Amino acid sequence: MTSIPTEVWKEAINLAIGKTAASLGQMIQSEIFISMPLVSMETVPSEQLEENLPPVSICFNFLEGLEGKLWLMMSKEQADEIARVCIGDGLDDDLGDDLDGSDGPIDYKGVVREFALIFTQHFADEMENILESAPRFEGEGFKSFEGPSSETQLLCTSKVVFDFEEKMQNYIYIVFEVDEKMSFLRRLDDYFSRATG
Amino acid sequence: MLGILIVDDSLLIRKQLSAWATHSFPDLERLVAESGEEAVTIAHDFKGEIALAIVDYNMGGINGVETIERLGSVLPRDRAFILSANIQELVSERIAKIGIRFLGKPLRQDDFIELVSGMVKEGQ
Repeated sequence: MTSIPTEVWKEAINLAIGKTAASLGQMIQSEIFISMPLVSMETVPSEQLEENLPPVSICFNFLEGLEGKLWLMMSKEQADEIARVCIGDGLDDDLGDDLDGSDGPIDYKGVVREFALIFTQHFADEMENILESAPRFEGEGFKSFEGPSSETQLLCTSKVVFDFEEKMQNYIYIVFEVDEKMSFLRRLDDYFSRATG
Repeated sequence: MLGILIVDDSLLIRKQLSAWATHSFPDLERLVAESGEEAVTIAHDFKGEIALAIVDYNMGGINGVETIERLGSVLPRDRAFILSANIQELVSERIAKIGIRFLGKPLRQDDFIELVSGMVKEGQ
């Protein structure tokens, strides 16, 4: 895999994460610590995609302009931390229960879904800049990561630490399953040429 | 001889800023590094004067602020800019408090040209 598309992907993720942190940081009036994203881009079968992916998984379906699925995956502890920080302290409920399906007084799932939506909107904005057309997406909600369905797909993977008190060292995984691999790679290449020409 | 120091672990950003500098400031020597450590070496070896440095914050190895601190005598802090996608207000304020100016990504070409023009005038 050439490095040019990976470089473009890395910067797009970097910008989307930075904007997500800014949006959230402003909301909670606190700094969010973000690590340098670790990225990879590979055709399936994926060798680098780890077997033990975090269990909380949210999916967005990209429909027009950029076809594929965007997955945000994180540990229950990470999801819990996001929900608690956004809602406020003093909550005793365990997000894990909520994510497992039981009803609780706080809509943890809604908060985590909102966090994922904020990131996805920023991601879509960055992709619009790169692809010169606005991709349309819709949320599929919480569902288990199924893995790529076709060997013609491309997996663009990033993982980043997104932390509120420098105590959470779990990665949030961002995986984009691209349906049209060659077209996507060409468009990233084109963007690189435009941006640096 | 005046130079511009560009430090970013992103090939895209290095190429982009370098291309803008070549296009708009052909007389400016371009010093390009992909890490803070490399930037320190390049800057110390440079025989001219660095008009400004644009340094990514989040890099492997030493970060942007530490890079600028290590540049020390070859680059006064008022000629250094941190460039980062981490555009949280608290981050930019923290960097401003130590006397380093902050630029949020993505940097627009017009803003880059205006910034470099101003710094080059100051350096002449």
